[in-house]
Amino acid sequence: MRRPASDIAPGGRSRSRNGMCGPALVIALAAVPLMAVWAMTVGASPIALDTILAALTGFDGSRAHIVVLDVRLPRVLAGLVVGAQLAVAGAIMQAVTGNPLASPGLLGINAGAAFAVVLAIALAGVDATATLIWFAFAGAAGAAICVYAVGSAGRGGATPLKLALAGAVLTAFLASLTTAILLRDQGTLDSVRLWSVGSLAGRPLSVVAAVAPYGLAGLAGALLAARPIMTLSLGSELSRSVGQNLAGWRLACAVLVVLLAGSAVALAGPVGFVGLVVPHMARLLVGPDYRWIIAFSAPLGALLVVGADAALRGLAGIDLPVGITMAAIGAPVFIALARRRAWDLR
Amino acid sequence: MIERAPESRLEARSISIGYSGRDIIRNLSFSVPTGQFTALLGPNGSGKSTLLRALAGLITPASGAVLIDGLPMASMSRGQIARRLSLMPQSPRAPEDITVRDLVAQGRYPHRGLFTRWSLADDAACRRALELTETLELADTPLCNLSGGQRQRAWTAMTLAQSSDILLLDEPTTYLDISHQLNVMALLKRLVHEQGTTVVAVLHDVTQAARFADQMLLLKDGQLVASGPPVQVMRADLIAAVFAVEATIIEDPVDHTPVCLARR
Amino acid sequence: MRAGIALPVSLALAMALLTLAWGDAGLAPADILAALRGDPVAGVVVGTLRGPRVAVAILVGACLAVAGTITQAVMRNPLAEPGLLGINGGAGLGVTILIVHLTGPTGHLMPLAGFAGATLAAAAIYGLAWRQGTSAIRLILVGIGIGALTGAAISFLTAFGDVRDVQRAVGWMAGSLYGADWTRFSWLLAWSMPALVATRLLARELDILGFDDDCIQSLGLRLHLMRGILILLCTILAGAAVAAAGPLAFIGLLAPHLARICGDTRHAYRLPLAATWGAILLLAADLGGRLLNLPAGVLTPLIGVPFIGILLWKQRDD
Repeated sequence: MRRPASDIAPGGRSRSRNGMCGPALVIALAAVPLMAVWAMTVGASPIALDTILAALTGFDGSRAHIVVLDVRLPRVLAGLVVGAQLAVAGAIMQAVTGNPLASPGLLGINAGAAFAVVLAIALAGVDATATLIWFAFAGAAGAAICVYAVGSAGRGGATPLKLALAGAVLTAFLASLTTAILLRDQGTLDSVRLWSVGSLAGRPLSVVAAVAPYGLAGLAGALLAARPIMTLSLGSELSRSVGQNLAGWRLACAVLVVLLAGSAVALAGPVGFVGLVVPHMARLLVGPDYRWIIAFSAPLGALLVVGADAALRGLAGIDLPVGITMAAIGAPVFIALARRRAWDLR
Repeated sequence: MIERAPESRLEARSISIGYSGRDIIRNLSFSVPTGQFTALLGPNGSGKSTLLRALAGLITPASGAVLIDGLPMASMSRGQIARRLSLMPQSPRAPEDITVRDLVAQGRYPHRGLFTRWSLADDAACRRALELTETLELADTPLCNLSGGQRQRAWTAMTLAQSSDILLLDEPTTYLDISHQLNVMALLKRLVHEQGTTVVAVLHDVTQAARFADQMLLLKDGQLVASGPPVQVMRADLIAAVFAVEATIIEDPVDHTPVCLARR
Repeated sequence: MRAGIALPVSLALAMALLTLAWGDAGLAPADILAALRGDPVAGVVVGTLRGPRVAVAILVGACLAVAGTITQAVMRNPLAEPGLLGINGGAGLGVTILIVHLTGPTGHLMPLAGFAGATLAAAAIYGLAWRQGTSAIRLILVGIGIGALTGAAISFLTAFGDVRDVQRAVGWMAGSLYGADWTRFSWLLAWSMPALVATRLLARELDILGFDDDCIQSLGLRLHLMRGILILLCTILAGAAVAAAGPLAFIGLLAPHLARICGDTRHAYRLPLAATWGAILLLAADLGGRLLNLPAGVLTPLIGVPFIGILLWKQRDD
């Protein structure tokens, strides 16, 4: 059963909130470049703000400028697109499945994409990102189909609980397949060890540039489709009764999710919990309207990933793979969510 | 207002129950008349189900006590309670592949120890429960192949197999069509009059309750508004006070029980 | 219905004999009989190499299957499994911490660390899922969350640990029966037997736990206490299995389903059936692993997941 209604605030509360949504969105969007520039100042050696700006506007070949353009800029850009893409993918999944636990990480879509990438590297020797991304798309799509098929079996259809468990089963299965491949192939193990945890480090600008167009296309598509997605979120009966092409829009949403999550994984590996946590943060800010949730998820996801990654490096001096950081932040949120809303999730 | 039945094995003594600061039952006392069919009625949210669960010992009241055979329930073990009293929840759930026979056999749980084997007495109790509910021919059917009415009867059989003298049911007729509703009500009435069972059921249909029950309790906002035999309780002013409807009470031409016609 | 157990038992016997016979030095059934009669060469191969491995495989498989049956009954969900619910993650974390942070010989401490990790994870799940009592759904979801946390912690340790330590930890976490001997079998037996017997005694309670909470309590069962006891038994069994063979996923998920196909819904029958199927599955995974030169733990999901997919697909019309 879908229960989107439980989220909808009574009376005009959500309407009065909507008046503030526009300005709030502007603030969130404005915060993104600020966060990005700050994130570029932190790292192994702090670089002053004006050096960053100088490197971005006029490259002078100095060591600091090389570090900014070759190391910090790609990492921050990768963080921005990965965060925005995973958050929006999670928001779309939560809307379409009416499932507050839906997210590319929990439902095994990240694991599917990651497995396909490892497979391509180990068995076919593919190393060009432009090719790998298609494997990531195929893996994400395959995983989505499997999880939905298994999770919707039995009485009651695809309940949040069953989908989450099916996602856990598939993730464990793919992890074991990956282990089998890596145990037999030391070379691949070395090249994917960090990536398979989820990491933004060491991605050259060319790789970011190869992946970004797909992700940006997905983000644009999600924003354009926000209204029909909002209608979908109200349940299949309502959607059909207002004349929406249910199967068509569901398929379109699946394509968007695969595009967003697949390209994020191709770039940064399977980063979990961004797609779960950010839409919930957005919902706390703007209420149950998925048009606003999707619009907010993009900047919030980018801020969360880049901010958490940079904050750990800058303030604590630890360079953790972003996949671990996100799990450390996201898993407690997930447990809190499970404690609060368990009865809705059956 | 509260009419004391001559004897009572189940009694609520000034109980109050609340969830997160909101009182659902407020200082409510009454005793369940033994060997009679008591219907619990009230508008949605009046606390009927909560009261029933408190009577079953599933909720411990914040203040006051529920007594069974004169002993406070809080001092008894779940097994001791289960041998005296059985409850059928509103929408009970069990594994879908279980057969009716196995489901009913679970009703014997409170009568068996860790090492006790299945006995002839267990067998007899199950058979009696299946016969009373007319589910004997369904015994080997899995639960998932039953219709709504058959399912309700199977669960009733499970509750009966518990062989307790007190039977509590939460909306046993909801989701059933009229004929199945009448079947369930007739079964309850038969249990009371032929086996001497004490029955307390939460019901929605006032007229149906008046036809089958011996006693009616009207509940509003967690407090007892009226109790007594149907002819006393079925009064237009009481119905109006409890359900906020304008009602006319007439007499059933066949059974001579009161019938409630609600208007607005 | 009792006939349903004949097939799995004979299958288990056949698998055990095959595992005993197959290897670098092939043994004919006659050799195995000879070993039993006291032939020295065959005796070494059967008695000290393959014998304990088969014995440990059977017992670990049975433990995992029974733990899985408990989990599915307590969580009321056919997809629940101790491994998916953080118990394997906790064990893996315990062992990784031990390997990465302690110097010196730690091999003999690995089972203990695995067991301690599993117990702590199970306690954390039960504690965090407690909110005016437990609920099956909360237990599952909190389990998934704890699983993700322990996974992240393991990744953290392995990403920054010494490569040789990490390789040892990864090897252990793959799950295998390498190096099984009679000592390991005897302490596994000592740990698991009481829990297996206790679980069998609680078969009726397991039957009733499939009902909804109100029903369970009005039948006279002390619900939260019983859930706690059963989760404890499940942790002992899964923890002992993890300690003996590393984390082996999916046997606990699949064996109860195979037992379910065989008929009877009562746990008095289901538990021994599931245990037998668990033994078959692990023997098969170990045999396959030896053929492909991979640890058994890599193969259990490869066998398990397609099976689960088919089973659930067939149930989809229910």
